[in-house]
Amino acid sequence: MVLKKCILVLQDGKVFNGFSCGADGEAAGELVFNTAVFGYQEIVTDPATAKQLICFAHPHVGDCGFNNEDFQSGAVQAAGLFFKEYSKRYSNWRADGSMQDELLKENIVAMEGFDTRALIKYIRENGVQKAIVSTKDFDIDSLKAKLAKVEDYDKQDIVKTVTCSKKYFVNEDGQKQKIAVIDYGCPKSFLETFKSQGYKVMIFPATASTDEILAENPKGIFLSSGPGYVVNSQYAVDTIKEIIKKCPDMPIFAIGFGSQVLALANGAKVVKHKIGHRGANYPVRDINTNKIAITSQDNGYYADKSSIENSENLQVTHINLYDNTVAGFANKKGNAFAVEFYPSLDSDETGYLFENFFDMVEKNA
Amino acid sequence: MPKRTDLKKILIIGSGPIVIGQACEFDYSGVQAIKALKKEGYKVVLVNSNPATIMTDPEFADATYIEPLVPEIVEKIIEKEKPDAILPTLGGQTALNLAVALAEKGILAKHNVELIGADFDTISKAEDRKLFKKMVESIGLDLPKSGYAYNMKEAREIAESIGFPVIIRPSFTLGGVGSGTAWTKEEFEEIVQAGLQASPISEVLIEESVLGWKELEMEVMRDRKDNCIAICSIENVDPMGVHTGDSITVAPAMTITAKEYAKIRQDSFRILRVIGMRHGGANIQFAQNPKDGRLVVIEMNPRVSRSSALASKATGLPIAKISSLLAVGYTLDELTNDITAPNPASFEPTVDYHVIKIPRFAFEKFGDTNTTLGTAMKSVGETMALGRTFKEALQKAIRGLEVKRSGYGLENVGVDKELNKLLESGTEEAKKKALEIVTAKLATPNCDRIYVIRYALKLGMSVDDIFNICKIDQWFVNQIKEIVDMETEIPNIFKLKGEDQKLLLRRIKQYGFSDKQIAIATGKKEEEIRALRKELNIIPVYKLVDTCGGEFKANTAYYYSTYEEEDDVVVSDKKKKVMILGAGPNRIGQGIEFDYCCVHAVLSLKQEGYETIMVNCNPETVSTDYDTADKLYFEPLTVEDVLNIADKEKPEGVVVQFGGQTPLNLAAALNKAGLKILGTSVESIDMAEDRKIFSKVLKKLNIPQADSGTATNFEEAKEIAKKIGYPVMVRPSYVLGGRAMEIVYDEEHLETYISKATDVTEGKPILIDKYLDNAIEIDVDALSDGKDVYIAGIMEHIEQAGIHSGDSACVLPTHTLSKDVITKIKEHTINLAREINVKGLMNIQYAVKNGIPYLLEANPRASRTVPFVSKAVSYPLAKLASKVMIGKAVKDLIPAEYLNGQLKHIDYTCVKEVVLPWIRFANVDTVLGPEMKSTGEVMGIDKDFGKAFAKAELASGTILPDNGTVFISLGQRDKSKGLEIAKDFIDLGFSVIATKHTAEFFRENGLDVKEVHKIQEGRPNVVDIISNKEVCLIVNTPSGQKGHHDGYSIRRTALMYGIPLLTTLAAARASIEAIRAKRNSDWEVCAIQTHYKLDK
Repeated sequence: MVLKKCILVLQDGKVFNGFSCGADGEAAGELVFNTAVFGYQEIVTDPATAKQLICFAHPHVGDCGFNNEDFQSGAVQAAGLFFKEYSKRYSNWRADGSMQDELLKENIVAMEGFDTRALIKYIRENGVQKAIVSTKDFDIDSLKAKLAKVEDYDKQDIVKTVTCSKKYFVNEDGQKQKIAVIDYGCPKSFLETFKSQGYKVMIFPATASTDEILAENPKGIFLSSGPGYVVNSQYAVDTIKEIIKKCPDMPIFAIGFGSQVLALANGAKVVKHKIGHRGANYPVRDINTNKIAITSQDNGYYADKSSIENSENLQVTHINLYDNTVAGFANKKGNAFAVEFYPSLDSDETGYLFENFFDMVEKNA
Repeated sequence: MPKRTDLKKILIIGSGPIVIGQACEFDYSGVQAIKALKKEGYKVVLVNSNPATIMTDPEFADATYIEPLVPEIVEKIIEKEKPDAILPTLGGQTALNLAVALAEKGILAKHNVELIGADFDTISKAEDRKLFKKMVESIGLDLPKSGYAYNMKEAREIAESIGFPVIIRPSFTLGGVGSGTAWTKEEFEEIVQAGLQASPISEVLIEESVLGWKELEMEVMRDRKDNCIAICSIENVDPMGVHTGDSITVAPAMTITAKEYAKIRQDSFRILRVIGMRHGGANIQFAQNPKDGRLVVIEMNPRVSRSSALASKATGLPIAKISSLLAVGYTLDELTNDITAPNPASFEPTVDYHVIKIPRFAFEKFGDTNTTLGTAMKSVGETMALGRTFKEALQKAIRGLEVKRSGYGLENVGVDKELNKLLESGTEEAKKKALEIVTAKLATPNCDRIYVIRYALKLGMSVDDIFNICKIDQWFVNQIKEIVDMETEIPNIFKLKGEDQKLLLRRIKQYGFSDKQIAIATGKKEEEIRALRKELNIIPVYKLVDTCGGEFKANTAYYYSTYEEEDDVVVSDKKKKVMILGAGPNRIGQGIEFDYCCVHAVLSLKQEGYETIMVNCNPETVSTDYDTADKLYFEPLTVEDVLNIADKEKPEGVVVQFGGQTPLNLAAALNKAGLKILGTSVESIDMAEDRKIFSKVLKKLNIPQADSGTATNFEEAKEIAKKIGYPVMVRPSYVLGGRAMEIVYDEEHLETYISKATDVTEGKPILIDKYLDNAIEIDVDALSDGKDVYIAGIMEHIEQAGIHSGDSACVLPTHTLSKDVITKIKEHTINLAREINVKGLMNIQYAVKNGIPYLLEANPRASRTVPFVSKAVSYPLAKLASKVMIGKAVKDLIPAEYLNGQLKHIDYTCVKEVVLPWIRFANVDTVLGPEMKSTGEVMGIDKDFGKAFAKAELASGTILPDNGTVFISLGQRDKSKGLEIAKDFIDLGFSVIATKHTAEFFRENGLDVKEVHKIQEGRPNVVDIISNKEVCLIVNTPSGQKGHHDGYSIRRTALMYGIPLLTTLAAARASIEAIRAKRNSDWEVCAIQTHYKLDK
């Protein structure tokens, strides 16, 4: 029995000891937890989790291995991972390899064999905060000192580290209209959705200018999800503001980080959750239909409700039933709309959002 | 959409007696439903024939009918109560089938009663496989290839087009009765024939085999506004081919990705929609080919089920309660999740632990039956365990199963014995033999398979080898391998010191190993390991089941143990605090009756201002509902696990009287460890259990006892039997439900018994009693505080002494005993209760012969009959006993007139009848004997014995005929007494037929009786006429051990063709009375509340 020690030190000094099940090394980031039972591969490869240390509530992780299809980006994005127990043997008919191999390949630190529920309860009570995980330095003061030098998550422009470097086409030969995707850290599955429906998809870096985007003459714009606090990415907000001004009828569909961009572009406020919404069981009510969808989310921030209600242009469309925060909003004309959760075209609960967007795109043609 | 106001009164249908496939889970769901609907202001009427349920307690429903679950009876209830709606989704298949019958007979339309929860259309679409297939295909989902057949010819054609192996499933049967897998043409013919017979509409589905595929289940709910939620996914460790009730299952599913989960979740919702399940919960099963991921829909249950009870316990979400509220019009978002209130119920629970369910079997009771598991359920109970990992949960679940294993491996029991021997011998030949056994056990599903994986690994098989043979997913096999690998580390504990020792022991505990296993592996005593653990501060913490993975604060107190850092339990400083130990998994002899008693203890002690702490590991039960006790610890019932909780909670005492033999077996060890046993002391328990001491007590009190002796080998046994004279009753000491008990008529038979019995007792003595032939057996339940005794009920058995009391019908009040005998029984009971200082309940069995009551046995604990007696006399015995246990005097609880002798008079007669699981166990003879075989019971209440017995029979599924031909076949000993019975049948207008000798004997005595051939006498013989349904009733008493082949064939054939069979003369006599009573008047129904009122 060879166990390799691993330590997690939180900004406030709280320490958790466990064992390494990933790469050797050290990683710092914003410590959060995710309560989803399924989908660890999608979660850790979603660029929205960049610079985060993620603790999984579900005790077994790695059970289905990793497969080539479910990557949401080219790599593991999270900075560090925490499990009750990593499954040494994986089993699933689609698996192409183990999670651990991927972590080792990408130098991702992961810790297991400790009381993850205690950690989650700690985060629940004290809020998310910076933390550092290490497999080589066990001196708490030293780790604290290192952590102090790491810039606060809330102050970083993380989008810039995950967005594509230049614009590119997906499905150039698509039979349908062209959709512009602003890549703040767009998960692959959204691009696949557009492609599967026959749309031409032009993906732009988050830093793309209004002119660059409009020059491609898209019939709809998709503001993707992504990591971090939107106020640090003012350039992205300005671009969308300008687009709205120039093309007030342009269909815009925004998700997660994208929705926060849309909120700021319309003069609303974005604030931080104490612990965030990360999991697959968030009930959201559509105010128009009164129907409820159980949604997957990965949010640390949300559009402030009163700022939307008081804004000239916006109205709340979806409410999170756990805490009554805004889970979706739209402009009053209805051509620009946003949700905090991850919709899926295949889903009977949230697919209608894509369908609405596609209708608008077709009408805009 | 708020609740419906057009509905005022709702009738809930219960599930009737406990049978294989339908157990306590429906009491659990029914109780939730009644509580929820009453709270909403609805009037609730309940019908259920099972008295051993909490739901039939008079304080739950507004009107409770303990009546047979058949359309003509329920129609009477509808006429009387005029309910607006019937909620049929909480009473299992029984309630659904009854709802269908009520609809089809036009009863619902006639009385303008609506079905809520699931309407007729929905039930039909879900239950009729053909319609179901059509509907599921219409939404583009895949199903196994299949076809329907109504005769053999059609069946053969379908099988040809699919190719073997095929699965055969008869339509509309319970728990998969009659279904099976055919690998060959011969098997095919056999199963289809039986299936056509078992199906009430003679229809079988022949289906592509998905044997060895991954089996997945979803528990889902939908409301009126089409909001759907998935509560839980379940993955079967045993792949397709084993009924899910017989499979080891885990929650959540472990080997599917988010994409696959999203698909089965959405498919489930789409199935709810297309089937028209508008408001309520359902269970949907899928199979997935592990090679290519092809996913097919298997079936749907449009109701709460065993799986939904499991899902409720696994996630903390009360499915039955929410389902009931959806049925009256609420939507999910209008309801709160009690656990994380104010959060709404429109969410999906998430878990931060792992859940395992393991079924419990009773094959040892059905010696000759096939123990291979298949598509028809055979298990009689189950246990569930929660742990932070699969490994921890698995070992806890095995421990909770009470099969002499305190975890995975290390104990030399069951299948391990033979394999250990072979492995220890170490020769190549032995190894080869071991490998053969292991391979065979892996290849065919059976209840030992899980334990055999350990040996497969030890013999060098790889995880993939094992998967290839048994198709248990590699993930599970590898988890087991990790346990086995850790097992080899255990001996190192005492080689290490300091932190290293602590680290290793802690990890071993995290892998779920018990102190006992560690003791075995290290050659220490369990107590030493416990002491070391405490010294090193390796003690469990308790985590909360909170539906949300720790994201929100939870309001409930439902815990499981694990070896981690942080404890979620808040220990109150309340002084008045008691721990109540449950009964563990259901088994034959220990079932819902004991959970009923435990729940009563909780309710009663709560009322007395105590904090109640429930410990149990049976997910089906009311006792493990999170809002029954103040705190629920979902833990195995072992000394280690119970003491750990006691160390934490420091209760004033522990209640061991109510959970059957399970907690009683722990009493001495718990007491020794310093835990106070409430009520009857350990010394008193021992006094009743120890034969020698007990005999002395009886002598002192002048209570007659059948001659008896104790033997440890054949020679001794022979001597004793000779001295007291055959026939004798033999059994091992310390057993429940008459396990391995037999009536032995001669020496040869005695020798066979002893040679077989070593396995059961292991060094413990064998008890030999004089068997009192043809005596009347009496059961007495009494409450005592050591001074005053309240005799709650004296029950007279219908079957003669020698038939296990749990298998015998009985009647209260007694109907043939003389006043003298009753007086003697009362005296003995009172004297004995005082002498052994019973504080709480006691059950005594007597056999009355020639006017003398002989005491057979006394148990100073709650008995199986406590709920029946409580309901009969309207005193909640277990509740009163709980109060006695905390120091109240019986005289303060019971009116003075009933103390020390006077029985409470009741104006009606109550009959308890049992249900037997014969149909589940092929090739087993259906005779009753001293070993208990029944799974459940029903109660018939009416004005007189005949009517009450008729109701009890009807409720147990026996429809007594009113005319036709009765076949009588009697054992030698019964001939003369049978004459009277034949005469009565003829007087009632039946024709009687009999085999040669019996017929001759009857004719000699002036009866007009026709003769029928025995099997070897040519055709048509008796089996032929039974198969042709030319007889309507059979009286067949066994003719002893030898030459009973004809009797066996008669009994099995009767079973197959559903012809009422009476195997004792006493039952025949009672049946005659019932037929007579039924003829004189139509059924009448009466709520127990009305009975009680009239009685006062």
